[in-house]
Amino acid sequence: MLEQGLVREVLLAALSKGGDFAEIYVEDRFNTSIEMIKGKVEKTLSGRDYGIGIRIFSGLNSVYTYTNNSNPLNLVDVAKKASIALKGIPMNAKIDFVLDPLNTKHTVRTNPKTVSKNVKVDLMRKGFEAAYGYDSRVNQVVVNYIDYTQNVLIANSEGKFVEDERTRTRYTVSAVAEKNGGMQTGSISKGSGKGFELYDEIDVSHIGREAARVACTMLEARPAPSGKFPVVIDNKFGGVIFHEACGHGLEATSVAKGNSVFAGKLGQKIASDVVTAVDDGTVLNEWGSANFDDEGTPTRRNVLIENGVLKSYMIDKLNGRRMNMPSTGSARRQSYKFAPTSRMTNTYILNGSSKFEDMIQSIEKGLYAKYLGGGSVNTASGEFNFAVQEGYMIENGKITVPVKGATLIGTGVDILNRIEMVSDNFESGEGMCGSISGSIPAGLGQPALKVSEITVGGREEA
Amino acid sequence: MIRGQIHKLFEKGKNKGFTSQEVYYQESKKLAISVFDGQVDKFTLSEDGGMSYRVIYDGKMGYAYSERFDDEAIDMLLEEAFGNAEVIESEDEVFLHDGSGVYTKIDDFNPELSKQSIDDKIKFLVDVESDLKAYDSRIKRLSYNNYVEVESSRLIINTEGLDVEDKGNYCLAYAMPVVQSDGDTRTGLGYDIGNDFYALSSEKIITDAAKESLGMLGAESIASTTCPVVVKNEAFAQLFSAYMGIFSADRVQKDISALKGKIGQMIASETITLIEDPHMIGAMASSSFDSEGVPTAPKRIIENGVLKTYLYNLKTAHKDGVKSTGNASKGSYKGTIGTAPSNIYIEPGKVPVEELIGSIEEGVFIVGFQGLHAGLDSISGDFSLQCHGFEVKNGKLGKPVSQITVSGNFFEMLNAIDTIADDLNFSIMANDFMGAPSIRINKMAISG
Repeated sequence: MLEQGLVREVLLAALSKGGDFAEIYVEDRFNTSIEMIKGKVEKTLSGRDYGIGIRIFSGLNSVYTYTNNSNPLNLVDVAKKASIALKGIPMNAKIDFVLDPLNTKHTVRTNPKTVSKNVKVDLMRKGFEAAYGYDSRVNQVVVNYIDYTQNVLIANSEGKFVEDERTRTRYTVSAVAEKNGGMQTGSISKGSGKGFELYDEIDVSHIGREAARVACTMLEARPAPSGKFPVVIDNKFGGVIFHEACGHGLEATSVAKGNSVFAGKLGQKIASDVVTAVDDGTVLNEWGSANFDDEGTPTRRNVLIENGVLKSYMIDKLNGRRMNMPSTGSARRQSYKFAPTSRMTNTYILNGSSKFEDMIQSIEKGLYAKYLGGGSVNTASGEFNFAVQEGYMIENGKITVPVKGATLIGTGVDILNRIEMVSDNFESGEGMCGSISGSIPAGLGQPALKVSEITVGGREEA
Repeated sequence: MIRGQIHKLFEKGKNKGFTSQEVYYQESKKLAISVFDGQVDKFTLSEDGGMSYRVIYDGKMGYAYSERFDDEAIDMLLEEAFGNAEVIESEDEVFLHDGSGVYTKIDDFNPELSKQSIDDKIKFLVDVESDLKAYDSRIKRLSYNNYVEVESSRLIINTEGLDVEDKGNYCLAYAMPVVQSDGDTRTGLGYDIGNDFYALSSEKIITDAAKESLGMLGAESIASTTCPVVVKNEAFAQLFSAYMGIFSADRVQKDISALKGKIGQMIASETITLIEDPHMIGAMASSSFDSEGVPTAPKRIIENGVLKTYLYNLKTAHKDGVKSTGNASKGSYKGTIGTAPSNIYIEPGKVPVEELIGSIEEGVFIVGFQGLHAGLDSISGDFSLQCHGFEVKNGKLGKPVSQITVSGNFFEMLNAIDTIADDLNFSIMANDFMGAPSIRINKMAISG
């Protein structure tokens, strides 16, 4: 992507006026997106992102600069300007690159870029037809398809020189059902780090039907109750609860400066015994996986919590300096326009030994959250919220009527201790996660969990 | 240089059989500084640009974009735009603007901003940090203490006669203190925004951030109840802005807006008048033309509760047999054309917010919502949102409240607003640059 000689020259320029570490990140990415509305392709967009980010450290301070002009003279000039901005002590660096040949673990059989748009459109039509034909109350269906191939080169003044290729594809069906003027939505997606071969393995009609089923079910739902209840959160995207309630608070981004409720708690009990959680960037072809993180460190499987005890944070190089701890291969960024920082990759709560049926049976009055929507967290106070897309009442040990408009709120510390049962039906899901280094694909997953008490915000009048 | 490449692109595009072509070129420069413990811990300096290309081929619109502008990029843009137009199935007629209409000149670019001293900008943050820490011993540190300065320019040229460009800049400073007392941790935000660094007020940032964070210390949940609620101006602007899509003609035409067929009808209480003003001085979203190059104009979207218009771009306007309202939007050169408002606000009332609070015997004053991207359904209007604020007892603000949710339906809420205050304020945390006064609603469901 850039020649070694030039990369070295840019890194040396970056250290010419000050700094003790310099890094270059070159990104070349091709994106495709298609939107189909009510069975007709309405929008297609494709294009190429290309840019270079240069970062310099001096102790705990850093400078970041980016450009999309890859002219060698410009790059050296940009690096020099950044070096001046750092006001550090000039260093006479000598850089010998150790080439890390790319032995990709995440093999892509069919690069989506090589697949004709018509094939993608046919695939979208299948999802549309399944959703639209599901029920006469379904009156609108939107199918979105995206894919991209991102090539990166990451090199630094410690001699690191790696290249990586990340392929992603995602397929989403959103269905709107209408009855007596009331409208409800159901939205289901599948994302992956596989190539187009993903679509040989999954049934997109199922995604369409499922979106339509959720929308139609929610049409019949009554307002969710308000108050504190035991809640069973099902697998797949249910993992967003751990992502929001705890995951963000374990990122060095908030831990390093003491802005997390989990700062200073390594080795301490922060969750109930049944909770073991990992962040694993090595899962084959998963949504949040890569061979290297965005600082060029190989990704790995980090055990965050083991039987309730906090084992590790997720750490990037810069925050690692402040924390006096090495990187955990967790640095990520949306693009060259963002300096990397510690982020989640694929974050999972691992299987326990309880049975789903036993969880439901153990509840007299509570909520079953089958599909969750998104949420957010304030890592300093630990307060989180997330929306329930498809929920049901649990009454006398049985799942009964659907309820709509439920939001779950609480604090991370509290909810981790209230996880009472963990079942054995682990499945993963995929989301987009937004934070200071941009919006990135984040894998999530868990088995069904029973939380003894969560505040449920619903519309049913008290 | 860029005009040369655009010319080359248009020439090649013509040979490829495109009937119309347009380039939307955007360039921006950014400076960002973060100070922690008296030192610059992060400093970002950048320049970038991108080109969006769209063409009409066989009556269909094809889009492509690039962040490189060399000859290889030109060929890529031609190929992709062609391929993308080919698979379009929508039968909507598509257009490019010919540059006609009256463009109101908006001169809000401050050429001095980028020349103002970086050392002064750093010192500003260092002072905010030390002053905040000195403000109250419960303020332990700042989780954010940032200065951001952005300069951006747009150029839209097409083969139908359009050739417009503009340039804007702004600077923003914000701080978020972390306050702790008796094991309770809270945060608050203070910010100031404008396009003259020396006009930014550190005092405003410090006071707002300190008051918001300290005020919430000791906040607790309350028992679930249904009660009168006052929603603070900025919080209401954020909530309203999260529903802005309902006014988009595109969504109305696709049956995914509940405002379909409601033009001329009451959709809100008569206290509500919603104004979009793209020509406001000193506002963040002012411009003389929209993302299709169509001239913008101020308008009322809701007048005394009655829906007057949807937001249109060229395509959706043609479909409804009206003129574009100049609301074509593009997230960036990477986006396709959608619709969005420029500066938008709800006209304030005549009474101070204290009067709204004073009228409540027992209720809640909501100062902020969380999870607005997740806890609401823009189609049904239902929402259930985490929020925080203060208890209201006998017309006075009481204890801080957090860990509650407020639930309702946006459309019902608009009709249920009984009083609006005189405290119009714009929020930078909303999706749009939106302003609102504080409002009172007689009955909302609160869960605790």
